[in-house]
Amino acid sequence: MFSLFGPAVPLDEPKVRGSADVVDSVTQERVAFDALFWFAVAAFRPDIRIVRG
Amino acid sequence: MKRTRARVGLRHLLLLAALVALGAVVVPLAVLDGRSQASLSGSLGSPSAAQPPDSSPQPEREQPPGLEPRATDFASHSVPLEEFVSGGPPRTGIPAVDEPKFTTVAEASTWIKPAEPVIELELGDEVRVYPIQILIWHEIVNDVVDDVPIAVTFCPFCNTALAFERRSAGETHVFGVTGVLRNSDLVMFDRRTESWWQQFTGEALVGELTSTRLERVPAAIVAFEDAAARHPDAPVLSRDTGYGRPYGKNPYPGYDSIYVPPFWPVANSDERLYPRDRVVFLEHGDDATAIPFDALEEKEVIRVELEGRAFEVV
Repeated sequence: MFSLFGPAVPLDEPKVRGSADVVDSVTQERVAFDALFWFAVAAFRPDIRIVRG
Repeated sequence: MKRTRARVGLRHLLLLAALVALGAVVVPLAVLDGRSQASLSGSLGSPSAAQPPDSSPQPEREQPPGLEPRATDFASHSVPLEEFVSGGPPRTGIPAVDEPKFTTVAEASTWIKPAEPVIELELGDEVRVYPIQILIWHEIVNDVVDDVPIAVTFCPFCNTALAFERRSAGETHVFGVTGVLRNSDLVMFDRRTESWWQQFTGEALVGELTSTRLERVPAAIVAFEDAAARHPDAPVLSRDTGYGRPYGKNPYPGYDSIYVPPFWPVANSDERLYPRDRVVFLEHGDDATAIPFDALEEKEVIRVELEGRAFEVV
């Protein structure tokens, strides 16, 4: 877990923090992905589907 | 973690009001055809709250031998030019790092906090670590990893950390920061053709190389302590960049509050999530999906399938 901007972000700010990784299920090779703000995804891919597992 | 809009506090409302007021100074870049890059740069002088304190134009890097600087060909573009807006700093006001130097994990541990985010890039037999505290001031590092020319990029406004092979059609590109944004995302230029490239897609949208795409290289934002544990011998991008910047300080404090709408115009507003909720964005072929980080907090592994290929998000 990390804080993106360190102490500049108030610690009580109710935000989700963390890191992720993506691998191919068959080969277990790491796959290129992006971890970013939702508004940018919505802007570039308005047809995007959200998966929560 | 359950969150409701009722939790938006006075602090967020005040920040929103300030951002809306400052949004009035954003300059739409309409009718760019026929103007030189130099005159265009001159039109981008409106400062914004998100402008780093020291964003004065840096000296141009020497052009490769045999190549003359060329202005962007604004007659060639794949998206409307009106979609580009000034981010504040002029062209190269945010200087890319062209001659990156590296240090050891042990030395870097003296100035990077364990939980700080870094970009971990693995290519061939090499792993390199690029601290966000440096990328946030430069946005692009033109590097060579495992003999492959790579651009490591970070857009602080979208939180996008992407790496690309900086070659197309047999040409190696050196990228710089235009100071222009589209959908609040970094727009890069290559120094040979001055084409404009969208960081989010790695595609040239304006200029001679319009519709050319760069190949992505896997790179992830991880905590420094995790990268250091996995790769204790990995080179770490040094603070010795040749530029004086207050590395370790955030020039955009408060920007990433999840409730605040984007500062710059974006093409589509989608309220299924909060604007700055962080998501994993994964695409394969024409299919793509977004996995919210709060879902990953609840489940350690989420399996998704895109065009017949299965992935695990962990």
